[in-house]
Amino acid sequence: MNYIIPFAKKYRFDDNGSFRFIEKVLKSYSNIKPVKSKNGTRTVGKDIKLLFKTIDITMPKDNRFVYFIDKSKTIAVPGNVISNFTLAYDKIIHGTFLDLYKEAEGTDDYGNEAKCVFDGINCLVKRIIKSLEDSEIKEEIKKKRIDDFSRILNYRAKHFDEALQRILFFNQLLWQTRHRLNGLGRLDKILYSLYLSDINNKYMTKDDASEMIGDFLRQLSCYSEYKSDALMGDIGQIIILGGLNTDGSYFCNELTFMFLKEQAALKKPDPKTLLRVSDKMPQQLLETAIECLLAKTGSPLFSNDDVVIPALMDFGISVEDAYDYCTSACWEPFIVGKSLDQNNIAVFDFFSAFDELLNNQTEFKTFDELLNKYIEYNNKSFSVFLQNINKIQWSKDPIVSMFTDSCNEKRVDISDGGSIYNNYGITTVALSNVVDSLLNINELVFESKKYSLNDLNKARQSNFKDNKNIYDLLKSTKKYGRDDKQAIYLTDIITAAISEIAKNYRNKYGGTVKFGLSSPGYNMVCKHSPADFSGRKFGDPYNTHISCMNAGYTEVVNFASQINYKNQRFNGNVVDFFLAPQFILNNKEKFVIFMRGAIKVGFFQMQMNLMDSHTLIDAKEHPEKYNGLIVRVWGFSAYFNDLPSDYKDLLIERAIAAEKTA
Amino acid sequence: MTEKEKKRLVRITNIQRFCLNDGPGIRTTVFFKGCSIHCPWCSNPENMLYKIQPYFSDSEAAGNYGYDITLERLKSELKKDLPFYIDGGGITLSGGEPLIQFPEYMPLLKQLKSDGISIAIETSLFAEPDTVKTALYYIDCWYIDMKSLIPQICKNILGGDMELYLNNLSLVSKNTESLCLRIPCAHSIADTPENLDFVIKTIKRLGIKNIEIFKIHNLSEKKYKSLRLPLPDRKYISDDAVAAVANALTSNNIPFKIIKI
Repeated sequence: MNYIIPFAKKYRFDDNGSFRFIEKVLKSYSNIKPVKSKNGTRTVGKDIKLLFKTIDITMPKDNRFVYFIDKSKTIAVPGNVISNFTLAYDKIIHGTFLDLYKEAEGTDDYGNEAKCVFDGINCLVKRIIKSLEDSEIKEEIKKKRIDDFSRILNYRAKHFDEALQRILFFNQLLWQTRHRLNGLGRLDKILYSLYLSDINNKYMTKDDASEMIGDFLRQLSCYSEYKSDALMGDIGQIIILGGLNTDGSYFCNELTFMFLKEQAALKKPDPKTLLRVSDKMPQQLLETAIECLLAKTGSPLFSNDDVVIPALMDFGISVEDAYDYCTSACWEPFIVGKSLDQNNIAVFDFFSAFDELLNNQTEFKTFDELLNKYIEYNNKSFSVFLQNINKIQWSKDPIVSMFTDSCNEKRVDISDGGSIYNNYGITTVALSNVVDSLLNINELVFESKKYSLNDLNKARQSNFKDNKNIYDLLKSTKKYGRDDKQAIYLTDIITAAISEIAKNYRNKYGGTVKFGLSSPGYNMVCKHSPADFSGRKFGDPYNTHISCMNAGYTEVVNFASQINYKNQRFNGNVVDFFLAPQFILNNKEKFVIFMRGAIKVGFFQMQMNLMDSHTLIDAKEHPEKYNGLIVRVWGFSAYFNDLPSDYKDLLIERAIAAEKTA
Repeated sequence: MTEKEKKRLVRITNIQRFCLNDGPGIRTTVFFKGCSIHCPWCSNPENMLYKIQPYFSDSEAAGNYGYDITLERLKSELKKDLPFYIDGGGITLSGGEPLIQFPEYMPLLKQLKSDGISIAIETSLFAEPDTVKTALYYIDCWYIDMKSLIPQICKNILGGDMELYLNNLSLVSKNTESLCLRIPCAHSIADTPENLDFVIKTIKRLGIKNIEIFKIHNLSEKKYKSLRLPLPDRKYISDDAVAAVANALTSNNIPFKIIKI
């Protein structure tokens, strides 16, 4: 039954708690049946073959593309299915699946598994063609799609719409086989040559292309509940746009603009876009991206190539790969077609060591003694944490292996370390709370000597009951996220200490571990976490990514730009802003200037919620009026109405704070 | 700046970054303490007096309005957002009346200017003519209030010398292209026919092209309370005053913008 958990994970954070979760797991279990092969020993490949032979096929009703998932069947293989990644779709557009199969075929286990996958997919393709022939789809579209599917495995794509159909097909295979959080890659780059030749040959017009992209995105937005992972809307179908070329010039084309425009027109939380930005990008593209933000889907997320790429190269990723980076479902840099890298396998909590230390000891002669002791505790906590992630087992994955460089040559499945990059990535929470705690202690205990650490700690342990003065004092001082040298120093020294441990860590493939300062865990891990000295009470959310409720936009950007992201510290570092839409509408030109400045200063990544508190408060009270309201949650967007109430409250609180600082 | 100048102190209440309404581009605005006039509708009453004033929350004194800062420190604060000062952005001097302390912080402006940073000022121009003359070298954009041109009102209600203002305005308008005249539309002050007549004549005489008008808001009740000052008279707030000023400008073919402050 374990295989069903991913399908029900999204209900874990319901207001009603874990009981409902189990109920949902059972319900999902009754709805989704595993397909189990019967001939000889079961393998993933055999199960996949049977699955593709038996899934129900659904023909499109009001869309030019075929795209379906049979929600009632999947495979049930032991171990965790590799997820949170992007398939190398370029390999089956500018090459063929048959080529990949030929590389993989052989008489060994690896070859046998590949054969099962190929046979299964081949069978499904034939069934789809038959269904198309029997369908009542418009003749013109039917003919095109039959042609597309006849060529889908053995020939390179020759048209733009054919390529889109092909991506959709392989994408649905991933969802069908339990892969979660499936990204889409650099589609403006992958599709451009076909787009150009179709335009030049008058196979289609630019408007046709736009409509095709619209249809493509609409199909991907289907099955959103089935696809959602840790919360409704956490789907991870990220499209990467723009980016620096290895020669230092900036890449973008008409498709970059088209995808942003269609993203805005779609008005759905997912699929979503990430725009790779740079000081060298054209201003017009930045303006289009800001227009897209104004459509309030939470997209695009901005990833700053001028900072991200050097960090990737510093880690040892080749120049060519670093310049071609995509991300895992949210923001963790990921090298498509060459990596196992599982970039969000666990959440590390910087506060747990702080809590442990303060529970053991409150006598310190100097602030430095306290800081050093915390770093010592935290390093230990991090080492134990890494031992636990080594226990994770991955299930065999013949489909993804065939698409991943070096697996076929080595004849080693990706789950056994067949790919080029085999690292783990983790996300972290509460560094902000620890840094603010340390700075508050420094001020109140060691500088002004207003309180003893023991007094402060007692107040903290009582959750500030009867200590309103202390609580207010702690809460009013927030330095993480500001232009504050001490806050930057503490951030860097704490992360530097664990980065050394991360660097020396080896997973079972010989890969190492990366971490970042933004995490989906800020409102999950905190639930059982005691109060801290940043003015956070028991169970309250940790600070959201890199943000500061008391600081203005330029100040947060300046802070984020001074943090050191090298040395393993690049696994997603997102500045998270709230902005009232009216604020941008009234100041669009100046907002473009702000973004240009921010890119130059050097933030790592940035995302924005364009929402005013008034709307959110009203939406919480009258959900029926706000069925289409989309908000950015962590690295994804979701319908506000689908969120548990603690998330709604946090978003409202942050929107109010943003309006005060603007 | 010389070592001595770096240590020189000026008195301010706030340094506000990411200001979008205080001049071109993105700006950092510094609010100087002390004003040469006292408009009854002032939205920054904490900046009227030069002396540092306590502010009260409930019954307790909770802190002070105003602090002294060295020019060296002020410079580093103003330069923090330097990368955002593109497309004409920079710093804005506001207050209070920023020209009062001008001689004190002039060395800083000299330095900022040589660093290529745009400097704007929001002033009511009730200041020493020599200061205004010197300021012309450093200030790139002038935002000048035109509150009332009736000498008695200027003297009795605002506490300013009309002649001084008009001479300064004439001096600035002759010496810079970058001048924006801002008219706070206070009822019974700005919108009287007599004042409007003077306003139109002055604008035409000096050939001022860039004009912004705005409604007086009672934005700062909280600040008045925290200073334990009586609340400003609401009689100055009126939509009709904005309409009257707008009509007068329109009928004289003087282009203007209505802004929100």
